[in-house]
Amino acid sequence: MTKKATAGVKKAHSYQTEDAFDRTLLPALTEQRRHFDDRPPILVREALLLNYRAFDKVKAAKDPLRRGLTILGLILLLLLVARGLQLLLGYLTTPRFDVLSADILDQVTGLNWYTEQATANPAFAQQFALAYEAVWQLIRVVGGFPSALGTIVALVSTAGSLLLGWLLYGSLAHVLARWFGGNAPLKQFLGPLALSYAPMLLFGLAFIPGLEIGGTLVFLYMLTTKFIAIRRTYLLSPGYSLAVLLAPYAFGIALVAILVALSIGVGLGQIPYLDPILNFFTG
Amino acid sequence: MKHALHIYSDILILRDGTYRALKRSPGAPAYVVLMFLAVTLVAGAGKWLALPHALSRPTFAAVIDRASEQVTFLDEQVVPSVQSALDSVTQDNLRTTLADVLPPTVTATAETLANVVNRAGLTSQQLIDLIETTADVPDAVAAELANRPPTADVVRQLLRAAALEPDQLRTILATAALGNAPSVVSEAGGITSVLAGTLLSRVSDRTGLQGLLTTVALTADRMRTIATSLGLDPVTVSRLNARIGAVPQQLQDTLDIAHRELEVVQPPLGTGVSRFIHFVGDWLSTPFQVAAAYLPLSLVALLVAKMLGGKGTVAQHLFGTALAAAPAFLLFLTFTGDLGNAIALSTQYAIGVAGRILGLIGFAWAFLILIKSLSVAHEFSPWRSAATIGLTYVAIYILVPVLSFLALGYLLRG
Repeated sequence: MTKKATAGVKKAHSYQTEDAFDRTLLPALTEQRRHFDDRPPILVREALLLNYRAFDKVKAAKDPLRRGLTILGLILLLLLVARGLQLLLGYLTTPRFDVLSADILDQVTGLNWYTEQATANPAFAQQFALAYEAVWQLIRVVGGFPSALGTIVALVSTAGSLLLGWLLYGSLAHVLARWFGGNAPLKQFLGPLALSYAPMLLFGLAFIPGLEIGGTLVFLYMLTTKFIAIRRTYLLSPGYSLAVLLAPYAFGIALVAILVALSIGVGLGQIPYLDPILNFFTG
Repeated sequence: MKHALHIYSDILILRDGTYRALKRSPGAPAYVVLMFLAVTLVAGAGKWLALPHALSRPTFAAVIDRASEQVTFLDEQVVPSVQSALDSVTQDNLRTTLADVLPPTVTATAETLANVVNRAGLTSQQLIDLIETTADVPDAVAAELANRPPTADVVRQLLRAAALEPDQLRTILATAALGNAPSVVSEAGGITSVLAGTLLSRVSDRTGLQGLLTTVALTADRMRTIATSLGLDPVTVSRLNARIGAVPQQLQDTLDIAHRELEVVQPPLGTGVSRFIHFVGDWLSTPFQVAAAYLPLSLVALLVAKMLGGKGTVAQHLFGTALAAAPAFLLFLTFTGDLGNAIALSTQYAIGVAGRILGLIGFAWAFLILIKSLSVAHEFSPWRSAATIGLTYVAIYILVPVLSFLALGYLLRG
């Protein structure tokens, strides 16, 4: 090989400068990410790619709290659409439990036992219908089969836990961050914190039947984005940022554990003969 | 596309310049995510080898159809055998039970009687009837029967009361070693005193008929007890046979109902299409399954790297470690799953071994890429990167369990 050819090969394989790399190899991807606007969908996309500039943009917005609410609203809207698709595709690709449950109910209500019970107790029919529906809903939820009620309950609980978690976690983390020396106000933190919930959108991919997204993956992904939000908002050191990130969870777990322990203790204390037995064993 | 493959190739061969450029480029995270998705989907494509088996699994309705075939076999082969066995059991038990209840001196007669009954084609009911009618024998006759050889009148009475068919009577007499029995019994079926006397004179010195008549003196209650103790009296056997005979039809009716229900509850798109869609979903889950396995390790490695003085940001570390998924296409055969009967078991095992060999090569290659990416992201030497990985595993598999155990011990100790 001639010297010129060798040099050409070396040049072709040399990506020592960022510009050369970006210009020759990833122009589309680089331009998109170097200059992106602050529309919520773009911000969410960049947050998923752990681009700290997205969090900076939300923090620097005129009303970070309102921007955060808009982003949360977008996430919930996308999850709502995904859940709707999941319900539809799930209905099309799973056995028709509604028909099966109706048939079984017809057979049960035709039994002599049912007739006797309904005659003896006027409220029996209604109670049975409610219990029967609840059992089938439980079967659907446990078995992962689609149901309209299950979808609505999941959406409402997701929205509630998202908003409540955002506010509660944000407040606790803010208190700790201020204690560690951070200067940003709560409203300025809640905006980037809302952006850190972007990984919840991964659950929306489960609209495809058979596709499962682990809760652990989303939780760890959200921990990462929350870390970036805390770090970029309060400009704390990595150690303090990590402490602010994890402390609210530790506090919550400790609180729940204490409440459970107290409940069990008080409950067991109602048993009259238990105390003497425990005294005997513990001396 | 060509450029993307070029970068991918450089990642695989650990080209330093590419790693450093990826670290600094704003477009790198998007590229790494797309590469991760593409490579893990290629690896997960091994699942498609199990698609024929997944599609050929019988539906519930097909299982019901197979059960129906078994019910037909039951009806045509098994039930008749069972019914026949019940009848033979009845007859066999009759012989055994008669031997138990009759006096030892007439044990041979019990055998004879049972044979007579069997060969005569007498049913248990007829035998019981025979015995019951003897209950009408006056006490004097009964006493006479017990103490002395029976008279012709008694024999006549007994045989008439038995209401046996001529053929049955002939068979009984022939089996009781009475010689030319057919000539003894009139074709009209009547038993005259002369006939009975003749009969008796011919056999009075034989224990066969005497034993038979002694046995006939058994009371109706005693015979009924025998039949009840058998648990197989004719009425019961008849009912049992009827129930057994009805079982196949009842089963078939139940299966027909189940089949109709299962046809109705099929997914609207059909079972085959639904299974295919679920299969696609399972294949698309592959990147998320791999990410769920890799992310905890990567985050702990970030903590360890920072403790060792690493300078990389969160994004640089995470996307750098994601590059280790580049050789994941070698895991293709490890995702194959259950191939069913389409391929011989030995071949499936061989595929599994081959998959694990390739997987081992892939893991080793990924380890090297991980060291390279950690070195670039945190500006470590390769040895420090290796130490980071080692300490990560120590932290996860030793430190965390030990600390958890100690904490639990403290909490429970009080």
